[in-house]
Amino acid sequence: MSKKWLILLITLASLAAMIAIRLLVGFPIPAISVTAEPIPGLVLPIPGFPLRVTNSLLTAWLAMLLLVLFALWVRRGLQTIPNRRQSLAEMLIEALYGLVVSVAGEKWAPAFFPIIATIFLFVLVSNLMDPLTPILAAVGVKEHGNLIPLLRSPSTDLNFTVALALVSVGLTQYYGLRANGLLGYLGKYLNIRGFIKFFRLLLNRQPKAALGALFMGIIDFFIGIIEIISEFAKIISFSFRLFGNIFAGEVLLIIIPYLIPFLLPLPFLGLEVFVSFIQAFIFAVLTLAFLRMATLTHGAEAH
Amino acid sequence: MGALGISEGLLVTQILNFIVLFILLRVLLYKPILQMLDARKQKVQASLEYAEKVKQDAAAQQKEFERKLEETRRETQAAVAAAAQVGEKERAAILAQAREESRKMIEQAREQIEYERKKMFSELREEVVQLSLLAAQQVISQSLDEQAHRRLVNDFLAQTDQLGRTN
Amino acid sequence: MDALSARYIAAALAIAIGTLAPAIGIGMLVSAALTAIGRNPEAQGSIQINMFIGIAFTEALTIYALVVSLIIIFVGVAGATH
Repeated sequence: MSKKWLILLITLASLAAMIAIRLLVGFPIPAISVTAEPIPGLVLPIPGFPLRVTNSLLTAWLAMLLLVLFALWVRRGLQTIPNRRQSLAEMLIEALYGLVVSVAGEKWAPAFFPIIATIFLFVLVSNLMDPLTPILAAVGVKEHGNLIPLLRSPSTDLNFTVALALVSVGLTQYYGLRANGLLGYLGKYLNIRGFIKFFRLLLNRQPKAALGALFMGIIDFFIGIIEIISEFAKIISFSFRLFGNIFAGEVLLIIIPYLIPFLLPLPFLGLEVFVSFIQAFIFAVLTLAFLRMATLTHGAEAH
Repeated sequence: MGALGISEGLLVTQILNFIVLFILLRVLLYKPILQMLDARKQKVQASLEYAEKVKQDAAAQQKEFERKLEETRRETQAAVAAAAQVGEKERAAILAQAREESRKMIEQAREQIEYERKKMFSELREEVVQLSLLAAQQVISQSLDEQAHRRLVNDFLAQTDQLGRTN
Repeated sequence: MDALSARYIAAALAIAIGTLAPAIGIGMLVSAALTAIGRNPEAQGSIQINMFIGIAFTEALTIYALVVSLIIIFVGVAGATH
């Protein structure tokens, strides 16, 4: 018998088994929770500040562990002429480094690259926990009759995404401050250059030009205010973009098998893998783009 | 915020997570790989430069070789040309010498002939004088004095001289 | 209509209407990017990166709608949360 027939037979058999299980046992209505559930009984005894470990925090630690193991695995056999495992890591690192250089330039690339790469890898591994949801959700602790899964993609927890967004925006502010100096940095948000010009023109007795300068000064001032608001909007859009995409994917992956448990979820799993990559890439590239905008010295380019 | 699951403790923990991961990956992954990539880039650069140098050396040697070849060819040609010139000169010299010699010989022969002729003439004249003296003595005997006698002979000689010159 | 139903409807409307304009925007953006790649295939890399950045900005608007809709559902009224 040819291999093709064997595969078909196995598929049909497993489908029949699934239908039988579904008919016999039934399928529990999935519980969807926006918040990450604290794992019962798992509390970190930090003095004065006990931390209830949630399943997404646990998964974040798992993701970190995986990444560190990956790093060690790659590092063990590092040599000038690469073997296969090394060229995989090299390709990844080189592509990321090339991206950073192409966007931020040679000058800032060494500073930006570790940030961008860490964001990308951390978010990517966290996101890839999401297509695993159907498996992860099955392992858990029972509390008050509800199954609390032990693992949950960190990207579906706002704590994780907001933390990353804060890191990203915070680093943007830091590098903006370093590149432009204190005055240049504050001048971007509290733009009073127009007012200074207005007073200077007023002292020079040029009321008409002074009026024009005042008008432009007011506009510039409000643009500065909008810049402040947009920095906060960045935090929200960063965190909720990642959260929204991955959480929606998770909901999809829970709901679809509930409706039709056979075959149909497969393309959605593929879609979620794709979305995971895209969202990690977007988080990293947007951070990079903001970092570059912040480090452009004054007057080079409008925001 | 609480309703969306955000709490300060978890937020701070996640930020710490990021920082820890950042430091670990920086030490374990980025630095070694980037250093290695840099080292490889330098190595490749060095070997490229070496290859370039070798290529340039070969080109220089080729050029040198061609230059020497050309020089040798030119030298040979010059030698051949010089030899030809020398031969030509020699030929011309030999020819000139031969011509000179033949000319000298002709000259000598002509001088000889002239000399012979002159000698013959003077001998002939002497003989004629003797003969005519003899004849006159025979004919006239002692009729003429010495002076008249000599005048007569000289007249005769002048005649014969004229005769010889017209000859 | 009780308050809870009104909340659910409002949340659904917020995300539904809030998605419309960004959807059109993303469509236009990608179409323009694909045209650009078709015209100049060598610039594919930089066009793609800028396209993704543009999509992210456009999508941010939907995300604000998502935030609003999440807040409508989960924040404010006791008992409305799961």
